[in-house]
Amino acid sequence: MIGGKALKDSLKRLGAHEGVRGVIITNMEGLPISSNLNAETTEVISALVTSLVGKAKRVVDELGEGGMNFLTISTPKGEVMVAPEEDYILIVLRG
Amino acid sequence: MKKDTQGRIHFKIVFWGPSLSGKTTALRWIYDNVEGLNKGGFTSVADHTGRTLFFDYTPMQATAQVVFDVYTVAGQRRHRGQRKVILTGVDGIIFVADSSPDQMEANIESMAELRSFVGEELGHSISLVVMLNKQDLPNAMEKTVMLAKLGLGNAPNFTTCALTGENVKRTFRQVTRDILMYHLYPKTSAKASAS
Amino acid sequence: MSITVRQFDEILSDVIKSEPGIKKTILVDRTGLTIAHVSKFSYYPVDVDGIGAIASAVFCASEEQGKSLDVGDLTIVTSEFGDGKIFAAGAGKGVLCVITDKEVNIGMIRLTMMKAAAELAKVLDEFMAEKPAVAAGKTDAEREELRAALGELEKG
Ligand SMILES: Nc1nc2c(ncn2[C@@H]2O[C@H](COP(=O)(O)OP(=O)(O)OP(=O)(O)O)[C@@H](O)[C@H]2O)c(=O)[nH]1
Ligand SMILES: [Mg+2]
Repeated sequence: MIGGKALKDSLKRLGAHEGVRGVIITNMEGLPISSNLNAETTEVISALVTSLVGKAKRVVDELGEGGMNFLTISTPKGEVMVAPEEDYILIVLRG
Repeated sequence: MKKDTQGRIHFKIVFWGPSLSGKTTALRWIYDNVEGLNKGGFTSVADHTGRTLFFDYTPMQATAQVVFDVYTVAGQRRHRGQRKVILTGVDGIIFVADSSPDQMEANIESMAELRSFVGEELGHSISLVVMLNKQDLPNAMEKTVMLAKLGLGNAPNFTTCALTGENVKRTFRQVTRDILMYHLYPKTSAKASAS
Repeated sequence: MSITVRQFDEILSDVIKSEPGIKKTILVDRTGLTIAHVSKFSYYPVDVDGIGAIASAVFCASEEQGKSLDVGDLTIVTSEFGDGKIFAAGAGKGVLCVITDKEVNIGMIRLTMMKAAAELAKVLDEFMAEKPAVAAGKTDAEREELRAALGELEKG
């Protein structure tokens, strides 16, 4: 599991990057662990992205891709970048 | 009174009274012995000794269109909050008093709490029937004395033994009848006041 | 079936379909009466009335507890078990109860429930207005039902 201090630090580092609008870390149950966005937005994004990760994982399994490392969604506003780890999901909104 | 999505009419009946007065025993007896009612499951939230922690509940269907949802409350003093929740939307109450002399104070306290929760409605829009339970005990208190102490001299009442079922069915029938009569003839069925 | 009744079923079915792992949805009122319920599998055997009565009572008791602690309004009660979860959310005059598998997206279920609860609250208000609980103004049919029940009880 990711520790409190280390987590805060990496959030800060990521958030400081050029063009980053938000960083969220959520658990596999769709519940946010940490975020630099407001509570309501955080809850919605965590829930939806976790749900999407579940579906995407099923897709790559079906396709026999051998797992999923990263998921990027391009949008008119920029990008939603999703890194699914063992027991958490890192979400970065950029652009 | 309530209607469900299938158009059935529901009435809620609650067994009220101090802890160990015999509420669960009485409901269980009705559930096991009264025929003619179409009964659903029996749900109990109780501790390992059988004392009610929250409530007992069983739906009993009188006809295709009329259902009595019957509950008991948890009598122990600390479960006051749970009792209040169970009382929401009640149509009829069976007050189960314990006839052992050392329980008289608990009976009075329980009745006072009930009055504080339902107020003026008791004995009017909320039917009330009194069950003087454990009358089989050798030292059971006199019916008139108990009713006077509880301020329930005018309420319909029965001396019962929930263990054997003595008069339990009659008590239940009385409350169901009173509820139905009140809803059929709300004005004329003004009942004995319970205040 | 009236329009409101169908709306209950639709909203409850939508909740089930919204996320994998939801086995059953129940709508109860705050007196413990089960109003509507939908299962994912028709063979899922549960005593719905009993479950509904507990769900309503547990939610209302938590609410009562919250009142004395002054912690604001209660939104969702979550019960986690070894092999599943039960969620209960306030829905106006009712309580929406959702039964799920163990591994579910809790965040998504919370969002879905909150949205559905708001809709259900509205439909419930309509439903209750349609079926007034007042003693006066009963229809002849209702009076007939009550008389039949009275007759049935006299028999026993
Ligand atoms: N002698 C005698 N014992 C009774 C009678 N009714 C119940 N009891 C006994 O009293 C005890 C308590 O009965 P319950 O029905 O569990 O009491 P309760 O009112 O549900 O109590 P709580 O759940 O704590 O509120 C049990 O041991 C019963 O067997 C009765 O009529 N006579
Ligand atoms: Mg009991």
